Amino acid sequence: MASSTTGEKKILTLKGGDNEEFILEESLVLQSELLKNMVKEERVSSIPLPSIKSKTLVKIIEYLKKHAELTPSNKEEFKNFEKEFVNVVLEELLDITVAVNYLKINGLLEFCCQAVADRIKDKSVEAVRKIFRIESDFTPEEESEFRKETPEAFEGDLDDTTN
Amino acid sequence: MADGISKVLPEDVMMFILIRLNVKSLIRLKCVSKTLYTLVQSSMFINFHLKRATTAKDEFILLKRSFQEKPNKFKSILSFLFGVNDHIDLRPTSPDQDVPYLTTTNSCIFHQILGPCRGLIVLTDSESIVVRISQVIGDPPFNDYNVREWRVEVYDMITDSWRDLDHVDQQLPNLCWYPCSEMFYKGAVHWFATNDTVLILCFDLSTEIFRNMKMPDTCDFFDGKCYGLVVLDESLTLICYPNPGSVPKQGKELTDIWIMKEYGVNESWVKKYTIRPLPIESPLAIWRDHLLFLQSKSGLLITYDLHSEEVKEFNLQGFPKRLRIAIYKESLTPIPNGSELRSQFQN
Repeated sequence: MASSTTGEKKILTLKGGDNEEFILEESLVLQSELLKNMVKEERVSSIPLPSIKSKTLVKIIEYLKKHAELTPSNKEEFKNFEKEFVNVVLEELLDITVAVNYLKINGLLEFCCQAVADRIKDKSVEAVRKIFRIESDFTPEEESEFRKETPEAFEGDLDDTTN
Repeated sequence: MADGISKVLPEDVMMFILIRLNVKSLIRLKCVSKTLYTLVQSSMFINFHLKRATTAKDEFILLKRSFQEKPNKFKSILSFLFGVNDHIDLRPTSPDQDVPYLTTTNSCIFHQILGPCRGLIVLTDSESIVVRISQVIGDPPFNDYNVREWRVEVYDMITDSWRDLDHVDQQLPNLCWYPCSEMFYKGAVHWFATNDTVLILCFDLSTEIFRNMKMPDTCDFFDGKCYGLVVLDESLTLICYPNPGSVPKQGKELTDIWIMKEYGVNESWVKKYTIRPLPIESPLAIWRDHLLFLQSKSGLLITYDLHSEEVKEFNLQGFPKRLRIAIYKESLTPIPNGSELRSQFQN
């Protein structure tokens, strides 16, 4: 029996990228498919998540708590929480999305992807390249062909800040 | 060497995000990199995008109208509309388009809109020439009274040509035509037809087999009703409305809406709604499971709300019997390069 218990509730420690520790009830992390498998199969009590920033982890834990409290009567409240949850700078939203994908929290992943899609839908090609750090692999000839054929693609919202 | 992939997001997350974008954004953003360009054009991505979760907001209305320009000359126009508010008002999403390659004579009464099927909508004209097509589409059987022989041709998208169906050995009923009578549903094209009585003839596109389905028991070919096929609550739905060309018989002025609860099961017809006498020229489609689009006898587009029983008129009209509607959502499915057809239209 590896995990410690207080009464009936099992406690688990998550270690963020900067070694900050988060202690929470095991039942909360079961929403993550990845952590669920770790807990069930390996019976660990402390899980290091070096690739996830503590700041990101704080946000995700906040979501897990809210989601665990979701009932039919506070559905509206939860929806508002979700809206606020993704109302962060784009860079942070991308960090959260990557972490949620890694942790396999499916419902939240869908919600985050939709939020990212909403934020980039009107952006120009150049802006999207910068936001996602994509280097174009078109040849210069192909690129100039595109600019001629679909000049509007390179217009749109030029704001590439991830803030 | 640039690889065209994101240094921020894993590829699968990138795809989850992209499938949530509308077609306009995707067409723009595929210029981001060759990798993205290839992904967005792949049939895998196109299928995912087609099956993405959508809401009522993603649904659009394709409206075809025809106007009479001279006694036997018509002009057809396509409008792309979306609904604003729940108490719908229709606004265009893009400018109207002329469709010059459809027949322009009086026979444009036979125009149909089929689909969408895998993201494509088929326009057919009076000679049943398929203008745009996805996969394979059946052509109504030609009934030649002199030779008493059936000829069925199917347009095959893969070979881009018409192909005779040689295994049609069954006796097919005669097709009967109504404005809203050709429908694509569950992989099959549906028409009305008669032998001794009126029935629904289906042609399954994957098996290329014809089937007959019975109408509800109370439907009588001789009671002066016209028929239309639509989809309601995801079920095949039959609309029986009074023939607009004649004075309805006593007790036959109502319009009935029947749902086939279990597709293909003749006994599963259920009468869902009965509508008060309205000046219906033809039914067109049911939108959001409660708004019945109709063309009124004066040619106007109207809706009848199946729940509130309210009627709303729109400032959109066409020549009687010539309005058509398809409800669709945006898709990335490319229109196949029908070289034969295309050159035929260019000549």
